[in-house]
Order: sequence, then structure tokens, then C-alpha cells
Amino acid sequence: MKSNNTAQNNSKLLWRIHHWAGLYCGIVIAVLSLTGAMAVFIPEIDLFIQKQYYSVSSTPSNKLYFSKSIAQAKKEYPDMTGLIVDLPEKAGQVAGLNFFVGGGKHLAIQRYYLFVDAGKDEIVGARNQQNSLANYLRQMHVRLYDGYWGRQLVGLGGIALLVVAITGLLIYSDFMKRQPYPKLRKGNGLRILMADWHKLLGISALAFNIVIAITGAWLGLQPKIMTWFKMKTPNNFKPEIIITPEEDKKTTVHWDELLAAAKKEFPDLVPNGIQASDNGSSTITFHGDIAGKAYERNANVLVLSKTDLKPLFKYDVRTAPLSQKFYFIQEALHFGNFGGLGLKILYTILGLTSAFLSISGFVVYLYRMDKKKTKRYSPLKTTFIYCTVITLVLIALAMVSMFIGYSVAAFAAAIIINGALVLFIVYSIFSYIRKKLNPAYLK
Amino acid sequence: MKDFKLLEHNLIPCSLFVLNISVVHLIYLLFINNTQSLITLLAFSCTIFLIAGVVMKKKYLMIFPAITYMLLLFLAL
Repeated sequence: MKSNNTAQNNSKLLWRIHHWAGLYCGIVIAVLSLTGAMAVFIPEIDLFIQKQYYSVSSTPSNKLYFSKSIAQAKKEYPDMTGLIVDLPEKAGQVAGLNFFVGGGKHLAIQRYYLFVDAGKDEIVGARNQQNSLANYLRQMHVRLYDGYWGRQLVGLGGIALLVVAITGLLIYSDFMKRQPYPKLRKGNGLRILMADWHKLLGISALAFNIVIAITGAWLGLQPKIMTWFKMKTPNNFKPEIIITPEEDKKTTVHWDELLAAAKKEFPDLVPNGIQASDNGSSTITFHGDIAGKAYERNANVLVLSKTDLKPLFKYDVRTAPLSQKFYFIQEALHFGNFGGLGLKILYTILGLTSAFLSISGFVVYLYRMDKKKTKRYSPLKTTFIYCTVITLVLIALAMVSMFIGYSVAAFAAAIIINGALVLFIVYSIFSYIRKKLNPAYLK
Repeated sequence: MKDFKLLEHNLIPCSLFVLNISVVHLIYLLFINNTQSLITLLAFSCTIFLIAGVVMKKKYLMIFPAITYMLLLFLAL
């Protein structure tokens, strides 16, 4: 009898944790789920926009050519710094020149992105990378568009998702009782139907949501955790400064020879980006992937000397210790970019379940509250209004980001997020005081 | 009732958990064109048996493929 009571108490406690974690963090989980489902397709969306909006493409060619384009860009922007050449993944796609200009005492840093036809070696267009839809999707999913503590909030959202997933599993049997999987109890009202869908989809996508929660929590809290525990990024390399920055900028680079040298030193590397130094280290850094390996994008690194093309540093994830492989697998597992379009579609479908779980859980909660309260708002109407407002805010921020500017959108997002946080804290304190002063309110 | 509980409250959640992982793994193996290897064959068989086990509610069709697949995964690591 005693053990029965203890089991019941434990179950109640788990349900309470599931309920409160879901209720308070559901909104963040839903937003992250929705933006994550779209963020999975960032490269595809970006390519589509490049073709349809900017009308840029590369002439088919067996080799990549971009020396003349770099020379032209350097001529037009002599003060450019931090040049990164983005290489196309497939034939027909454009290469990109990504660099900064300005940053002096009175000048603001401006980021430039030029499209290069890698077949003809011509600059064919330009865009503001920060105001792109791809950047909006990434920033919204990674840091809720808030630069202050948005990334940490996303990490905490990951922890909340982990808590609701695990507690959901532990209370699953109590809520299923004699109901077989995947039967839905129809004809008992929307509350029961929503509760059944909640259980059905929750258990069906459980492992996926746990993986997304753990990797999301890590990716969100990574900068803080790495600072606290003094961890270093495994593929980080700081070359020695051997010449002046001015001399480094002027050093002529033969890109064809460099690509050939990189191929010789690291044959399996598929480079995504090449960075030329301008700090006096006289190096060229290749970042890339190894085909068929499920690791973070650009985890493999090769650093060559600009002058004699000799390798100074090589990081091959395949030969790294298990702990470092584990470090670099997190992002790939989170975004599902290791299994082609098929896996991305599966990630989107499974990823959207957590948004549905947040919404269905909220509907069930509103129906429960509806019974207790004298005021009767329609739970469906309330949920619809919440979902519409959140979707409109997301769309408005996307519009502001793309057509007015990243900084304005980031400022607006910071006001919305921090304002909502302040309102939530004030409301919680107010409710607590009201309950303390008027215990009858609890009944 | 005991069998129902074992099946519905333990084996099905467990099978669905393994199924999530095996489907993602299988898509990855097919994407990298690893169609001729034993690991792909085993992952494919386990996935099919797990789906059949959940649909048909056969406990041995869930237990054996789930254990085999998890062992395979740990050995592959």
C-alpha cells in the first residue's frame, strides 16, 4: 500500500514537472521547432533565392576560377579585411567573396558579399549577407534574434525540451492505461482527442526530440560552458605572426597552385571556404568536410603557408580522439545535414512534432482551466490567437530584417524578448503576492 | 493485462525509440551509397521488423530487432 502511494506521488511529481516545464517553455520550444524546421533547409532556400532573386549562376567548368574576381574586389575595396572565398558545392552554383571594409576609429565595419561566376571568373552580383533570409532563419533559430542572451535562452529551451521529453516518457504508461497505441478516442471532445495526439506523437518522436534537445542545449550554452570550463575549440590554430599586416595583404597568391597543394596535402577534404590571412601570419586556411561523414560543417581544417605552400596545420576529424569527434557531431545531429534531402525532410516532419506537442499541450491545459474558472474563453480561440500573434511577429521580424536591416530587426527582437521576460517575471511576482494575501484565490 | 502492459507501456515506446534512430541511420547509409554493406542490410532488416512489430503488436518482433540494432550501433561506434 505504501509503495503504491509512493509510486502515485512520484507520478504526480513527474506530471507536475512535465506540465510546468511545458507550459512555461512551450512557447520557446514551439518557436524553435518552427524556425528549426525551416533552418534545416537554409542552403536550399539560399540557393533558390540566389537563382530566382539575384539571377546568379556559374558557367559550367571543370575547374574553379576566382583569381581575377578577387583582384577586382581588392581594387574596388582596397581596405578589405578577413576575406573568405565561399566555394560552390555543385556545378552551376556561384562562389562568394565574403569580407569586411572599414572598422577604423570613425568608421563602422561593413560586411560585403560578392557573387562570383566560378566558370568565367567574373563578379556577377552582390548582396547584404546580414539582411538575407538565410541569416534571419539562422539567427532566429540560434539566438531568437537577440544578441544579449538569446543563445542562452535557446540552450535553456533545449534543457526544457529534454525535461518534458523524459518526464513525458515516464508518465506515458499512467496516461495510456488500457488505451492501445496508436488508437485515438474519437467522439469524446477536442480535449481528449488533443491529449491522444499529444501522447501518440510525443512517444513516436521521442528519441528524435531527446537528441534535438541535448544537442540544442549544448549548442545554445556552448559559449558559456566553454568559457567556464576553459575548453578550447579542437580545430583552432593560431599561426605565428611573421610579417607586417601590410606585407601580408600584398602577398600575391596563386589560387590554382593553392588548391592543388591543398588537394595534395588533404586529398579527402572538400573545401567549403578559403581564408587568406591579413594579420601578418601569411597563411591560407581551408575549411571543409569529408564526404559521407556526419560531422559539423567546416570541422576539417588545413592551413598552408602563403609563401611556400607548405602545411602548417592539418585537422582531420576522422583521426581525432573520440571526445573531439563527439564535439563535432553535435551540430550535424541537430541540423540533420548528413543524409541528403531525404533526411532533411524527415528532420522537418519530426522537428515539427515538438511545435505540435507545445500547442496540443497548451490546448489541453486551457480545457482543464476552462472547467475550473467561471470565465469561459474558448481554448481553441485562445490558442489560435497566440499562434497567429507569434507567427505574425516572426513574419514581421523577417520583413524588417530583409527590407530595413538586420540591426533594426535585432533591436526589435531584443525589445520583444526582454519585454516579454520582464512582463512574465512581474506577472509571476504579482500572482504569488496575490495568492499569499488572498488564500481563497487558490481554491 | 500483464502482457498488455508489457507490450503497450514498455515494448512499443522502446521500439519507437530505436525506430527513430534506425530510420535516420538507414537514410544516412543509403545517402552515402553504402548499399552493399552488412550494416545497411542489418539496419534495413531491423527497421522493417520493428515497424512490423509495432503494427502487428508482436513482442518478439520488437525485442530481437531492437536488441540487434542497438548492439550493431554500439559495435559500429
